[in-house]
Amino acid sequence: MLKYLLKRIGQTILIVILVSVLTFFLVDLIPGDVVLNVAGKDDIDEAEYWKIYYELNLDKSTPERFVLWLKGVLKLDFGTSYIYHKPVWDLIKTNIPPTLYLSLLATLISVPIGVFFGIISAVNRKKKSDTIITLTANICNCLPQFWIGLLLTFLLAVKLKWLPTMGFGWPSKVGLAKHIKYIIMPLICLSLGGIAGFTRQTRSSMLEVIRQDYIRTARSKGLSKRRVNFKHMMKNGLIPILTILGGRISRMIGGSMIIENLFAIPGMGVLTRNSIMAKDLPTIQAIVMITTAFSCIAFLLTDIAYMIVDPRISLAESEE
Amino acid sequence: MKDKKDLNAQIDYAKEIRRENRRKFIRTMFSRKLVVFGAIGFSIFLLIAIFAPLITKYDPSYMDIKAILANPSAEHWLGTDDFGRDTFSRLVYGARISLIIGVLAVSLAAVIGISLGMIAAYFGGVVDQVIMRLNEALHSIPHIILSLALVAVIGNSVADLAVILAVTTVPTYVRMTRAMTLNVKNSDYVKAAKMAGASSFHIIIKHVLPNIMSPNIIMMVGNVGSTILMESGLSFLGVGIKIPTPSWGTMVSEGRAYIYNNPYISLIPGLCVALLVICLNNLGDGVRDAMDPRLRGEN
Repeated sequence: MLKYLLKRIGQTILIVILVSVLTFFLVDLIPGDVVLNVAGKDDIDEAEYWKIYYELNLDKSTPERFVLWLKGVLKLDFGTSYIYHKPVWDLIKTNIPPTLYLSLLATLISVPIGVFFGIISAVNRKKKSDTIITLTANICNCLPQFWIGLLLTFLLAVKLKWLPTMGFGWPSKVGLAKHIKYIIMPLICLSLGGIAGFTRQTRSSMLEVIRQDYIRTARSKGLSKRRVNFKHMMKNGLIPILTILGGRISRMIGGSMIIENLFAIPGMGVLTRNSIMAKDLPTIQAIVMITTAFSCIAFLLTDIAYMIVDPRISLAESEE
Repeated sequence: MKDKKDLNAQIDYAKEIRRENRRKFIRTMFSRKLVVFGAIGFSIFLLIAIFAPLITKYDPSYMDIKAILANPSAEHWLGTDDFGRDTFSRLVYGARISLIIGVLAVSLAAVIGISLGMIAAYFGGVVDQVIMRLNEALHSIPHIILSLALVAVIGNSVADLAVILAVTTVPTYVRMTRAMTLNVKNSDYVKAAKMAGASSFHIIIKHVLPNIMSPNIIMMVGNVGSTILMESGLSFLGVGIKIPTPSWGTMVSEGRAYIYNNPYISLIPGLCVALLVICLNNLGDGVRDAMDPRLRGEN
């Protein structure tokens, strides 16, 4: 078990290092003069040009540059943003809380609801409720998040005037009631896909368990259907949910990029969009690194949780 | 003479079996109503995309300055946008862009991903390690962030976006192909081919590839939808396809400002994305049913 744990942590570190290499060379991928690209404009004076030149350590060899950049990254120094004229890390620090808050909250909302619908659907397989749930989940999986958001804005904010069309504020600043009003629509947009995903996963893993011998044994022992459903099936059927949790959190952070722009929430999404539009490379590099780090941590934590719940996994892996 | 007759009969028999298999494939594929719905819907979108110039008389990027933000009329069926461009025409041409990007990106991703997956599994060792570690690194960057960063670096023409979206989907193909190639590699027929002195290239193309194709095809059909969804998201953010190319995502984002007066400018293109993706996914389910009977009835 410890062996597997160490192996997984090692893998995660390796991935983060590889991503940092890829991110670092992102700058070199752009055709044209690196300095002008970083500055984002062509008409800079000589002093400014050389300032950026030395800031990027362009006088040194590529491996040296990478090591210097990585050293900075480890100290959370991603350089200076060329559009905001501030250290990139300061920008990230102020923008990341709403993104993490919304994506984690949306995940927390979608797990129980998705699992609930998945179980209902699996237990009533081939009945009407199953058909309706599966169909709805499949449709929700296909809807563009921004379109759901727009539809909700149109219905709840424009027509019914129940909610503000956009904006965001923490409960400490605007009060809890207003805060909830702000986050309802973004949360629905983010959670809908998650709920659909968890419903489908729960349903298929529950159906997998239904076929197992121990379920048949339990039923033939005379245990009630309800008892078998809840005691035997759920215990084993819900474990695979953990495996998709990490991927879902990563997708929630991604989805938040779009939703934040729709509802003007001052998070990573808005920062990302602005820095992409202006080709603000230090910020883009930092965003790639930090979101990757978060999604890697999410993957690692779900794997560890999975290993604790189902020791068979670590055994199988370390025997490889 | 008799031998030849026998041979002909055998060939006829083989042809008959092949025809029967094909009929069975079609029958299983369309055995569910939803799949038929998906196929019909997809065909409609496809026809619209192909015959776009016949359906609408307006150029989607033509700006009619006299008809800015016009209401729906006989001239402009769905009105015009803030540049005086005909919304209906942009919608029709948007189908073209979505389908081109979806199909192009997925084909590219599949070709690259399947090749890398087969190479990794077949040769193993260092090659495998390098490909798989890089693959994991690429996979662990949230897809939308990766495509956004690549847009900043590569650009946002239709071809650029196809490449970018392909890069984000490659890892799934590499992983699946690798796992399946590992199985095929240990099969008797591959061992026999090796003993017979076949080259690695010959074995990969003739023996491995045909045996790993069907799950890949199933995945490809499913991926077209999700790629279109991703493209619309990028275009919605304003970093997708270059203006004035008509893209549904861009239309939604441009129409957003007019949600009070004319919500349809932004709601209808989004609905088109949703419908196309729903049709594609149902069609994909049908392909899966027909190609892999074990998965039938699951989601």
